[in-house]
Amino acid sequence: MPSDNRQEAALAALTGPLTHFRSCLAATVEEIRDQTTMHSDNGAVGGDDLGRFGVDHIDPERFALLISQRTSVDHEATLRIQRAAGVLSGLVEKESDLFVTQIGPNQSLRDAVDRAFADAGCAFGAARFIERLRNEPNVEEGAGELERFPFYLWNRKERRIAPPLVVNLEGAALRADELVGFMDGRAKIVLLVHGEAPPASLVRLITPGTFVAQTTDGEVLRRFGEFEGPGVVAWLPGGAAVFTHDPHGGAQLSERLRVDAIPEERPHRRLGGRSIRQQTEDLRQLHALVAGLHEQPAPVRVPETSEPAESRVDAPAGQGAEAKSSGEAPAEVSPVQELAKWILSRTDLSGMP
Amino acid sequence: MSNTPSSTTTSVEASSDSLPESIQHLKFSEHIVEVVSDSGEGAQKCGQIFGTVSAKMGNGAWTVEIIPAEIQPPPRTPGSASGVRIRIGEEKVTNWGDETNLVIAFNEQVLLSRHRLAALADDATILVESMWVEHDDENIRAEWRAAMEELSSANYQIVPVPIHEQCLTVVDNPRRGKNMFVLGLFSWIYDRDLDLVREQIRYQFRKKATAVAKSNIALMELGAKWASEHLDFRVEIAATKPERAMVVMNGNQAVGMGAIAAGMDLCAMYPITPATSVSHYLAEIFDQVGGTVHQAEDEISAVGAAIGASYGGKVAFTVTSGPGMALKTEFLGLAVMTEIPLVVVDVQRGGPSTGLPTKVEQSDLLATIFGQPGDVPKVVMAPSTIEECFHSMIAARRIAEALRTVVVVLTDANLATGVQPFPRPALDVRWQGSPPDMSPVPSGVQPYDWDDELGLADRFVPGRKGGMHTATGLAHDRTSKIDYSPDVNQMGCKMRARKVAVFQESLKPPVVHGEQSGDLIVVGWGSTRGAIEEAVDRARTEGLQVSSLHLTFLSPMEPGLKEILSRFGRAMTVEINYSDDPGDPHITSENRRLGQLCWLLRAHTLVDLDCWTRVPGEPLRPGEILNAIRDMLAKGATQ
Amino acid sequence: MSELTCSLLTCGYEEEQEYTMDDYTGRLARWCPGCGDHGVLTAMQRMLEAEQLKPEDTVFVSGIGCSSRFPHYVKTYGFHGIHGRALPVATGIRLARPDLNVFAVMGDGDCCSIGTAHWIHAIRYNVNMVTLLLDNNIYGLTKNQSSPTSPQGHPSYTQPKGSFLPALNPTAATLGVTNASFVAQTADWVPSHLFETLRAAFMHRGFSFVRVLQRCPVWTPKVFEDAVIDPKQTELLTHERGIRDEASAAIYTNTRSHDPSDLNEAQNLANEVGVRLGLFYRDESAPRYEETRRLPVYTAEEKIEILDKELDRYAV
Repeated sequence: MPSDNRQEAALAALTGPLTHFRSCLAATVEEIRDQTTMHSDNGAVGGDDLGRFGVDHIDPERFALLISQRTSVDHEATLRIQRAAGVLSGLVEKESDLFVTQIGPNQSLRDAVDRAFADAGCAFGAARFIERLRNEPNVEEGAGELERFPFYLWNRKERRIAPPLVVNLEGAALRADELVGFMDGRAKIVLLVHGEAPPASLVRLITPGTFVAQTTDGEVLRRFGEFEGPGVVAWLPGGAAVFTHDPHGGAQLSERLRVDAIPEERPHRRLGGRSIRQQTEDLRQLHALVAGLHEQPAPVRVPETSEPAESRVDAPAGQGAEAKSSGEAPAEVSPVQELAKWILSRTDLSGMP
Repeated sequence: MSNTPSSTTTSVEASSDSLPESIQHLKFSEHIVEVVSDSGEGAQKCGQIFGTVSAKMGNGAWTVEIIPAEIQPPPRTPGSASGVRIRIGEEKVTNWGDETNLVIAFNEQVLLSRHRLAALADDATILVESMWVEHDDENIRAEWRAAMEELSSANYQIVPVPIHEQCLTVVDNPRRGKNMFVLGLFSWIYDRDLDLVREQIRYQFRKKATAVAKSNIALMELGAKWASEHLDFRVEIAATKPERAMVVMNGNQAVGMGAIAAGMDLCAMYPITPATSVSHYLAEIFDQVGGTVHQAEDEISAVGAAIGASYGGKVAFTVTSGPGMALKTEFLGLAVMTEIPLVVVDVQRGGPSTGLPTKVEQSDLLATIFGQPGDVPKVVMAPSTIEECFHSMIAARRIAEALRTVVVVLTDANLATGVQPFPRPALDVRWQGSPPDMSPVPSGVQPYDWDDELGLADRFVPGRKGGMHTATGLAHDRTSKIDYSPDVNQMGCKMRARKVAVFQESLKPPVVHGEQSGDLIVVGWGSTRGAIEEAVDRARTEGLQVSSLHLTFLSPMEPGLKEILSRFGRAMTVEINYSDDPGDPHITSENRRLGQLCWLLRAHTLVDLDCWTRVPGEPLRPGEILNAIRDMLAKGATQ
Repeated sequence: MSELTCSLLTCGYEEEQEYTMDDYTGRLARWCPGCGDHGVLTAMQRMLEAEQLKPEDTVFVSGIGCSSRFPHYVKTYGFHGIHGRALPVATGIRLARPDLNVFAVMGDGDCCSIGTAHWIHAIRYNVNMVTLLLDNNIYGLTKNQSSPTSPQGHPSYTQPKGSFLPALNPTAATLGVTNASFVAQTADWVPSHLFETLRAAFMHRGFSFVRVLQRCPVWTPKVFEDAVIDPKQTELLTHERGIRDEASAAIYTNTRSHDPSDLNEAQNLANEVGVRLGLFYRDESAPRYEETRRLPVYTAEEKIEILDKELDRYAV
């Protein structure tokens, strides 16, 4: 499949989160419309805003007496709000390029994703700035928050609005561990991998609350788009491992993980930063997970999962990194259960049945 | 059309075999056309397409639906008559006129219904389906003969047309196709642009398979061809392409579109005729622009949800009709009491009770203004044209928001289903309004901190820091604390009334139609404007000193009314609601019930107004109003 | 799009503020001494504090009745409307403002008599909000008229020979409505259970219906008396996915394990005679109306553009 078709398919599958982010942007632009339009007209009521019927029957100047004079924000503050609002409307006008990025030469996957999130994130930066201005009109703009507002600064609510990303990259740049820090809220990343890639790199990202999949046909993307949590899907050329880890599947790993293909061929050369040994290790881990699926794992109790995420403690970015062992079948050792329990309690499972 | 040389024979052969020798081209400045069928045979669709095409060609047009009395009336009965009346003219047309000049009927029984309602001009041309003349069923043949006998009392020119027979050459079941054949007849008679007609048919059937539009177009073309081969007259009504871009739609579509233009994106409603189609329209377009039609479990819940949404920061609206207004009464009082902006569209229908669900009346005026217990000052306005249906929604939202009160837009079934061209609105982004102020409430400001001069207070929308309070329908003080003390209640009532008074000061005085003084002034409101003004114009050509005044704001009322009325020897209202006729048994000046605007104006101006009102379930005809004017002038001056 | 749109202004900037009980305390409660509503109010305020809900982002909606004074006593936004109509207003608020925490407080006359249509349909809409039915089996504010939940035979001023009809069972009725998603029962005299129930109701995404058995010391002092005096008469529904109230376990030893995903069993339990507290039913998967109805949001400019295209369709 040519890459542009893949990109289109990925964007189509991500319509839900994409529209959500855009809608939140539009809602914000609307909310501050009065500051951005009315004030710039000096609050004058020309009558046109009453429409023809109004103008035929109502004297606009007298009617203007009835328009409540808003809490006055001083001129300086208004200008600053307008500058921030400009950032927001600029983002609304951007089409899909807001959600699509490439890895540049000498750029790591982490940097590319960070950059893309930070660009879109200036929506959050701008909104925070406006809200701060409303509370204290003299507040200064934070350093560069209107230009770049990186993921690690986003709070839990913002992370749930996170825009989805489609990243084009060469196989050699595929380093799953670099994405760990973004697996939170509803951050979704689709990797369109060009050329030879490590066969099972993403297996390292599997944690109970994270949607992780490797695909060669893009079928899984629709489900990914509907998933209410974080995740990564890598769309790889043929020959790679194909699996889907969908947290909606259930509390047991066997219910969540489905492995469709594991390449027979052993990794034979270093790819980007991944040694043959590391690639082999990835595959071994996938094999181990598959083996685990056939054993009857000890039941792990899922604690109350019905809590809306709003009620949760703010999760630190990169919590997924500590969860590396949770993808393995839980043994009957209680510390592991304890750990699993802890990880689950720290993970956003609000979308789960 | 007295000079139409068609024969009155009922023989089918007479008009079907021979080509007409010469075709008469009849020129008129306007014509009234009707198409009537049994309910379900599609006469309405045919008429709406004809009206729309005429408007698109640049004719003035006004269409009014003829709605059957029942949902499934038995076919071939007068009660089954369903269709459209279209008045087309060279100039702008403002009402449905008096009597029909040309009618096409699908059977003689629905035709009889129009005859009995005196809807047809004495010399009207009638094209009627001929299949009944020699129908297998003896009863039907007898009905036909009896009907022809009854119709012979007028000087109609009756032309039988083999509609069914012709349609069979294209479709198997002509019951679902006759209307397009008839559209073809109209199109030929009035020389309509067939490309426009085809385009409109395709639009009508856009949601069906293309084959459907195709066969309908074939039927239309067949009708036009048949007419060209068999009819010996054509009617010419000159059309001028308007200079301005125009749109054509019905009043309910205009209300829906106006609501969106005004930035209102939540319509809570419960199905009720004739208001429901506003929500049909919105349900379709909200999918594109974003918005919600909340179909609630009942009328009360609908207005409650709208109030909840407005409390949350929107200006929500609800659409309903008389019985629904009655149910919403308590909530309307609450919205006014808690000072929550709300727009209510009441598409008035005939009352009382369930009354005439599909038909026009103007009888919700007093109930709307005074129908809620306690003093409930609000804004009530009545658009008089379909164009105003659109633009009034923009003003309604602005006023509701500025005054934080209820604004009721009174339209009616005539506007709701009527189709009329009007200048295309130049949409303005400012109409979308601005969202409520969400900044923190300054310390010390209270939720009902009325400005004593204006009666207005800041709007505390949930989410505003420091604005926490409980809005209540109980008497409350400036802090929204429940308080039954005499001063507090007096003050609350005063402030809620004051802002409406301040708003009244911004209203422009209404403009007198005709001379500024004279023997009689006719006052109307709402959809009767066109008919009243036409009647006044006709009266003036007879030399009568009569003018008219049309009111748009009924609460508060526009300024200067008393002064205007005082310049005329006599004043009367003309309305579509019930009043006793003076001279009827037992009716005296002490017990006479008056028209609703008449009651209101008498109280408001202390002028001794009279009224002429009717409740026919259809729009008033200018000719009837003219007669009423003549009668009133005959009584002499009162002041 | 299941996620609800919100303005970014409401989710970014956060003031460092910890709310205490005082921050949720509104006007002085004027219910009768001994009225069960006081306990419900306290449990609610504790819950608000435990969940640290922002007072300005929280709305209590009520109708008319003793219980409907509730919003005045909580220092959040409140809407004290008309008799029986709290739910339509609350539904409208959620439709307009999905970012707000919405609570509806009703009495038994309010909910189960004059507002019945709204009650039934609100269950079906399954809008995300918490609904409390403070059920004291009587009309209290208007002084002693029989309500639909008055026990048969219980005398009142309108039915002095005793309520003619068998009492309506609000819990069973709620469980019978399509799309019910959270149905619980608790009592004003078991504070920890009340608190935990409110908390679970708040956690639930959907329409959480909580019937609170509530004592009226003036008009129905006897109806719950036996249950109050003898905890054994109360059956506590327990389950790991139910209401977890460790504090009451020592006193309320008469327990029954009930899986709240079992609707049939929930209905049986609701219809069985006796006082039963706990979570009867929960279904997180029931569709929520305000999410089903959500559409993308456009700016004013975009809307005008779309509308202008729409006008083309009607152009002459």
